[in-house]
Amino acid sequence: MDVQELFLDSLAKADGDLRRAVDGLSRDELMAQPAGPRSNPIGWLLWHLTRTQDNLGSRATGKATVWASQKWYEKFGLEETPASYKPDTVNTFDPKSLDIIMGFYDAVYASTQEWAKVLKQADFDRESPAANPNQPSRTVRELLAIIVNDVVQHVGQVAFLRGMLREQGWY
Amino acid sequence: MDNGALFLNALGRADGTLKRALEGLTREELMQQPAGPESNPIGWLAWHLTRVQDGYGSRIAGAEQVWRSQKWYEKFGLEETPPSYKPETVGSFDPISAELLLAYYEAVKVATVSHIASLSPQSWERHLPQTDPPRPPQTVADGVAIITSDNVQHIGQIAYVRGLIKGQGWYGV
Repeated sequence: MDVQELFLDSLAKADGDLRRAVDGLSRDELMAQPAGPRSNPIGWLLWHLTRTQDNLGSRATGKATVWASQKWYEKFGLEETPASYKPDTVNTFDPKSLDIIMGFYDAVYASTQEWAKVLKQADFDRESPAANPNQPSRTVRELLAIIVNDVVQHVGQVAFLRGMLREQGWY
Repeated sequence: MDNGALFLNALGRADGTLKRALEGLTREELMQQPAGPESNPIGWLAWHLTRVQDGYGSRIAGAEQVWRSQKWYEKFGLEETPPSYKPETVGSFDPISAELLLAYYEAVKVATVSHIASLSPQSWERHLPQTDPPRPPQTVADGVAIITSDNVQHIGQIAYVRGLIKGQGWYGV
């Protein structure tokens, strides 16, 4: 088993949970803040976890983000460099619809699978500097771990929030 | 880079979040259900994710669970085979303290790290022992991916619920 298999396997298991957790949610539910003001809505979490995956993937491969190359910002009515959300503004993010937000997620996840599958042993140790000079340089192997950790934590939060909205109990 | 290194790197990042998210929480906060009745309290989530890691680690290594071999059930005042919690009873789980939860987590992680370190490249494709009741066959690689996905999701939930209790906002914002 190659390392990219474990990376993709961990993402795939979380992906299955994510799809169950968002199934049938309306735009209102995606924008709801059942945990109170300043808490992260499901729609924003989906966008944020996808953006993280997209940005780190772009950094690992040196290619443009899916956000930019496929012009997803137009579908969300945002700038190519979108506003930086804060607890006070997180409720203003408009995911448009489950189809659009999950369409963006699907496009980035497809791209992740594509680039991760072709990584070679030598790629893992390659240094990948951050665009922001205040952030540390990372190796590709660290970027893979960061993607898993960030994406999967947020998937768990989405599932928890669905429980708050729909009171559906445990799987 | 091998699989084990990726797994430990991802888990190590998540358990850094776990430690920050549990830090300073009282027993009452650990048992609180701020998301309403039947919702999972932080204490139960931390215990449950550790149990998952312990259970899969034991099946991967063919070793006894740390829960049993180190008698952690005594420290939690539970039976060796603890109750199967349900949404209606999850509020009754007593985590005792944040220190105890983290100590059990650390003990399991030490065992997991050692189990993973001893895996040969071929053993990732080996089938795990069957469970009772039986589930679809799983390989060691599946088990490791399940620990990662399960533990990291629950750690994300703990961080979110801490925000609900403490209203503390985002890290670094």
